[in-house]
Amino acid sequence: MRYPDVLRYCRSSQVIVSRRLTQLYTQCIVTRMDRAMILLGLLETGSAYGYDLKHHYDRLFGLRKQLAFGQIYATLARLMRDSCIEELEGEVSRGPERRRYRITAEGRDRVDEWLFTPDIPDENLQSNLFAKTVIALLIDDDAERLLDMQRHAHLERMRQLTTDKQGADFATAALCDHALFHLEADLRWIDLMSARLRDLRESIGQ
Amino acid sequence: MTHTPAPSAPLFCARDLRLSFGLTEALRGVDLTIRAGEILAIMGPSGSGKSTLLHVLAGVLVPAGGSVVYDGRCISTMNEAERARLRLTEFGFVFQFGQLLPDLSALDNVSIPLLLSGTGRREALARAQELLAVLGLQDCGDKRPPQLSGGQAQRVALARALVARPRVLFADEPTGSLDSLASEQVMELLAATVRSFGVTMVVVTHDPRTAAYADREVIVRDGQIRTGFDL
Amino acid sequence: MKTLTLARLLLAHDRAALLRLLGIVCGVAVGTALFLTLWGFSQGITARTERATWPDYATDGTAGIHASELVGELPPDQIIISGNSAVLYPSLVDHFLDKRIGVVRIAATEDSTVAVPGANPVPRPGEYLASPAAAALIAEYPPELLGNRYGQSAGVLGDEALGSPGSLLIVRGATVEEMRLQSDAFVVSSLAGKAFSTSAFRIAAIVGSIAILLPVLLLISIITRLGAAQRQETFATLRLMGATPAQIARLAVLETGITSLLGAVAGGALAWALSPLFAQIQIDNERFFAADIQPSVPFALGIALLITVATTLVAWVRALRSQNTGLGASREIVEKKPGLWRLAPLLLGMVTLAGGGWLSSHYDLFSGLSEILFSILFVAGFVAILVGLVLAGPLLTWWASRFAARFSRSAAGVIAFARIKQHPQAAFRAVGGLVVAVFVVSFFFAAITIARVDTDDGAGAAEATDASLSGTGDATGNASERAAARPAPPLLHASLSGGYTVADMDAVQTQLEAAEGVTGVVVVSYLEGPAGEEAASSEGAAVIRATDAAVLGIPQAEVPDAPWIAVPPRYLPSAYVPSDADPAHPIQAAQFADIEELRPSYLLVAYGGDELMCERVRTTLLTSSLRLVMAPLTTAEMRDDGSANAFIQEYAYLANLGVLIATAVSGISMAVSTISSILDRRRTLALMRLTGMPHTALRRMIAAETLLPLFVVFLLSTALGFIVAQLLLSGLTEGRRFVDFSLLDPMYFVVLAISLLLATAAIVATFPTAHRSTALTATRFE
Repeated sequence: MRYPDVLRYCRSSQVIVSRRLTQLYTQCIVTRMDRAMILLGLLETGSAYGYDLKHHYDRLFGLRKQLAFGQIYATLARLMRDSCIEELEGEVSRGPERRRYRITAEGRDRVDEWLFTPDIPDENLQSNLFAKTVIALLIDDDAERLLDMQRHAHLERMRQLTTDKQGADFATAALCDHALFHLEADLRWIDLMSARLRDLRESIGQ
Repeated sequence: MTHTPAPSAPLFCARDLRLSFGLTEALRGVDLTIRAGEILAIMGPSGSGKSTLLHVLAGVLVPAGGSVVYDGRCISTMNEAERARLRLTEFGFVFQFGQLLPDLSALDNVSIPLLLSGTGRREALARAQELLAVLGLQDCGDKRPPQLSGGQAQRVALARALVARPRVLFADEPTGSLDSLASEQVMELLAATVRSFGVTMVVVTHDPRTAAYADREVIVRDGQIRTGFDL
Repeated sequence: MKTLTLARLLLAHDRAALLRLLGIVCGVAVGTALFLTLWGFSQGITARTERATWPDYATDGTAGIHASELVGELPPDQIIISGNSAVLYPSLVDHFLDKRIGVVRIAATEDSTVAVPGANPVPRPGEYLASPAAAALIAEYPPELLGNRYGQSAGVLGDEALGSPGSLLIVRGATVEEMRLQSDAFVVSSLAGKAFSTSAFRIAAIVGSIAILLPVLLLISIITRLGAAQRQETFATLRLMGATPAQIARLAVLETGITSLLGAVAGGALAWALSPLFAQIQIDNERFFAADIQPSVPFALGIALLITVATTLVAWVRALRSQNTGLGASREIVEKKPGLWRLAPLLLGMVTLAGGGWLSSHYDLFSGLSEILFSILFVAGFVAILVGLVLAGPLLTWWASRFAARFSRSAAGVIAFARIKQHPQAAFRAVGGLVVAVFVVSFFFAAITIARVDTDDGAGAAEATDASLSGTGDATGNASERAAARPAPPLLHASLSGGYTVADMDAVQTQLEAAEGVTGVVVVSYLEGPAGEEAASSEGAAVIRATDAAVLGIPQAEVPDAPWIAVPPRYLPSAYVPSDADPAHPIQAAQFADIEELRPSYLLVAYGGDELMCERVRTTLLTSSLRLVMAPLTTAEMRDDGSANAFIQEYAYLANLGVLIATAVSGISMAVSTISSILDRRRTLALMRLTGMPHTALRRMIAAETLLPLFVVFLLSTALGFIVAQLLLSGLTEGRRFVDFSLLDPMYFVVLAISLLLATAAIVATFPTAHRSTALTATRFE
């Protein structure tokens, strides 16, 4: 799937890009590690200026709070230190926002690993999963497979929680239930996403 | 508390199952192995073919292609009478709703499978009463299904499914028409009873919290099982 | 939305619905036509009896003085009449071959003002008027066989004197002097027949009609119910869409009203148009005049209207009542447990009949005001029992299912009896038609046993019936006590009027022996005076000449040596043999002092040849100058009289027809009810088959569900039919007559077997559909 196609689909169906929809994710605690990966993933779609990267990120993932330039610089610096990205030759004198960056092979590997390692299922990870799915779509990777893997991890976690619930005291049981319901909500989203991906694939004719 | 599925011999061996209803292909080459004593959840979106898969495993439907081997016997080549006999004596079934006869008391409903396989009336009723007691329904024996709550009715259905000591229990959306609490009660009871009797169970469900009571899950999508990460 | 518009909308593109409505119209038409036809027949039986019996009530001795007591001239406003019709007294009329011809003799003045049915003016002495059928018969044979008996033909008897187009009746003219000597001649001033000689007959007729017509009404109700059942789904959908109960009810009324009206009117027209055809049907060997059975136009319309109103009312009530079935997937119709009150009408009816019977055997209720009350009591009791049977059915079915459930061993039984226990009304309704049909059949066949006669037994058990119902005292004893002595040559028995001496008879005897066909004549005389009394008590009352003994087939060895011998009854073919008769009593010489003590009673004329010769001899006897009490009869005719003419048997023919039709329709109704009950439990049963329930279990379940109520109520309705027949008969005959089960017509068992067979066929016919609709594919789409 090509990015322009995705955008076209997104625009026409206002699914992923729609602010309204993204506002459904009331909690979005994106860890620093994940932020790095997201930016890296975005860079995998093509080399970009720092400035463009920020706006790209904001448009896709910015919620109430947009990403500060400082955060971008720090993340980009770290990525460079880890040889995930490299600067393109050019106007070195300008600030980071004006510098052009490109992903390295190492970086691609890291993105791949990130995409296809299921997150530890907990109730706060929707945004990560969301981000991963979008990135996978953008870089034309097997988004469906990553969803399946996450689903499997979720179910495994739910099994664990269910077993823990047996014979537990009221408080523990209540906590387990709470977690279970949130995991279920995730799974619903995962199922829906899978279904939409299939629809999309059919309509595009692949 | 963790459950460790003991490595045991495969009870069901389904290979390359294919089945179509008219022009719709319900199963398109399904491979599945089920071990004795485990609880398997078959999940998937509506229309994916999961109920069909259950029906084929249970010998209700005959696949157009592929085979199902249960306990060394090939089910898919048996005739209807033999398969019916198998279903009566070795399998138990729980459905989403509507499986209890509304005219009979709970006790009578539970005793039916025993009567069908030739047990005497008195003994059948005694065993039914025992089982109802195990499931916490000792006071519901004389009530009729319309007088029971959804959860109670499903537990009676469970009793009926287990009364003839089946080796395998097939459950098709057992919690589909129940609310959260009733679902939980039914599934807890189901899983516990099935494990304590050593019965293998195959549950078809779209509800993750129901599937969470199983040992593992398979996802059926478009007539096939998604593989690639764990089986 | 206007009801009519809504109705049209529902039907617009629904061919199945139109067919259903058409089916209702046809069904109601058939039912109405059947009702009116059966009604017509029962009215026709009454009408023709009333018309045909005008001679009988004039000559039964109650209408006027005996002709011999007439002083002076016969006034113009009176006539003298003798004779009988073949309807009421079949043994007293003339016989020809296998036919009975009623012969009436009338003496009237030239200017007589008395209206004689069909004979205006009255034939002159020596002339006769014959009914069309009789005239045809006379023309068919040589006069010396038949025509000469009556004299000169003066024309045809009018229809108003006849019961049916095929009636055989002769009205002869006679002189006053001749009539004075006739033993059954009476002076009357008016002539009228009666449909029923006593109110007991009338009650029996009413009860019979009700019993016949009930299966037909049931038929109509079953048809409309079948039609309504399919409508329920449409109505449920409408209610879901927001139609009010009143709207639904109006819709039901409109639909039922129109279809019933169309059907009923069509049925009425059909019955009216076909009645001339039906008039050709013979009930009790007689046809009908079309006018007798044709329903009058106002009556037919009235019945059509009544049926329409009834069915519409029921549909309206049902539509209003069905509001409490919930909207939604589960169509569990909850039935109330049947209450004990259901037994009340049945018990009340039986108490009424039993009480009536007891009363009638202790008090004379057949006169005056008590007669009317009594009639009402009996009819009401009967109706109460019929209604009570239908009401009590569900309760009895419920009890039976509880009993059976306790003992059932198989899954099929447990399921079936639980179903019946929860839905006793539906279970009974399925077999209700059959139950009523069986009751009616049992009732009729039990009732007519009092009229059946074994062909070996002597005469007139029918006359015994009639005698009992008309209250004229004891029946003529056990028919089997009639003589069946040693075989004699073919004989004609000619009863002589009084006044003859032995000397007279000698001349007659010589004359007769010379007639063509006659091979011997025996004069049987009885002793009068003290010698006679003594002889009567010792079985030696019948005296004949010793020389005539050979005519009777008595071997010479047994004939004592005397001019006159006293012959025990067993030697006389047509005599009454008492039960304490000594079979070895020998023929003795007759003991009397004076020959004048012998009174000739009757002649036995032996003839040689076939039946035509018999008729020739009979004609010879009738045209001789002998004064006979009644027409000469052969021995066979004396024994086999009127067995077919029992009043109640006429109704039994109708009943068979009604019952068979009701049975057929009930079978269909049973099949439909069974299928619908399967469909109601479709999912559950399909799931059970999925879990391994074999389809033989399904079949046994269906069979048990239908057969239990059938069996229970079959027994009950049979028993009840017999009991009610018993009560009714003993009540109407003032406690004298009872049902004789040994005389039960084998036809009864045939009809029962056919009913059971139809029921079984109906059940088996549902198996394929049940199998199909609970197939495993029914569970696929959740």
